[in-house]
Amino acid sequence: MDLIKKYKFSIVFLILLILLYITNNDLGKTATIITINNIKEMLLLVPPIFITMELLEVWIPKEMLIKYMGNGAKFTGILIAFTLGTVAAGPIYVAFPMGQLLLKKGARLMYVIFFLAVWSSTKFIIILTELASLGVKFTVVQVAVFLPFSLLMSYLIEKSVNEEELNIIVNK
Amino acid sequence: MLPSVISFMILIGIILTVLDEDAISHIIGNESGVKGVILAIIVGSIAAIPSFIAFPLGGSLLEAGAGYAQIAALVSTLMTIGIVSMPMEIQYFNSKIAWSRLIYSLIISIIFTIIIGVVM
Repeated sequence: MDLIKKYKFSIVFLILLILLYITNNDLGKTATIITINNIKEMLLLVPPIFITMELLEVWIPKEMLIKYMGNGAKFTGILIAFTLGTVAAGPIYVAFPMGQLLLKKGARLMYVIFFLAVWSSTKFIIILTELASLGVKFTVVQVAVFLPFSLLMSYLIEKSVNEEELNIIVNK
Repeated sequence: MLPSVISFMILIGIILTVLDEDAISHIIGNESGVKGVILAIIVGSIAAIPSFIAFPLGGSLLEAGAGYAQIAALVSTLMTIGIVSMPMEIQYFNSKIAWSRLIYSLIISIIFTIIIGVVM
């Protein structure tokens, strides 16, 4: 019963996929192929990321992370969060466990939220694609809008989360 | 983690099939105006197309006659709003953070869309 509860969304979507296949054979086939390809891609992507996370866990002492990304870090915290987010590759759901690990290591919530925002909006490789497809002006405006507003968002979200809520995340 | 990942993968498979490039081009095509911007925001928030595909797609839509504002709305929400990845975000952080990020990202995307609409 617990197993069914745990996988309830998977089961619902699997039924949807089967229904799609019954009503429209071609669409169902395409959806299944895309699903399988995505799972394959994820299986390739996840092990190196988890290995990196394990190494971070072991190699980077908590004191050091607190010093550079903790409450008193100020500019270095923003800079490191930006660097981690912009050099990264991969979809945002890969950034969630990394962000959680940073929090557990004592990073300030504002920097972790900013890291997630940079990961999704100002990743270096993606900016290059944007420059090539949509031009310099479009790209400059995008970065100039998203960076400062993301920083503001990170600050506002941090203020809205209290100590107790933060402790629950850190102890997950 | 596994349950949410599997459901996420199946959901993306279904969404990418139903909302393919042709469907998106149709929705925010020529002269769609504010309606096109709103639709672009909805599509961009739901669809889970990776950024490295989203930008070339935006470029080809522009060539096909779509407006800069619609493209700005589409690519910015594609990048920063992921409704399908929310269950995972809630699992790793909490629902307050996930929802706040969604709402703020939506506001930032709208600001960006307006600025692009004015300057381009």
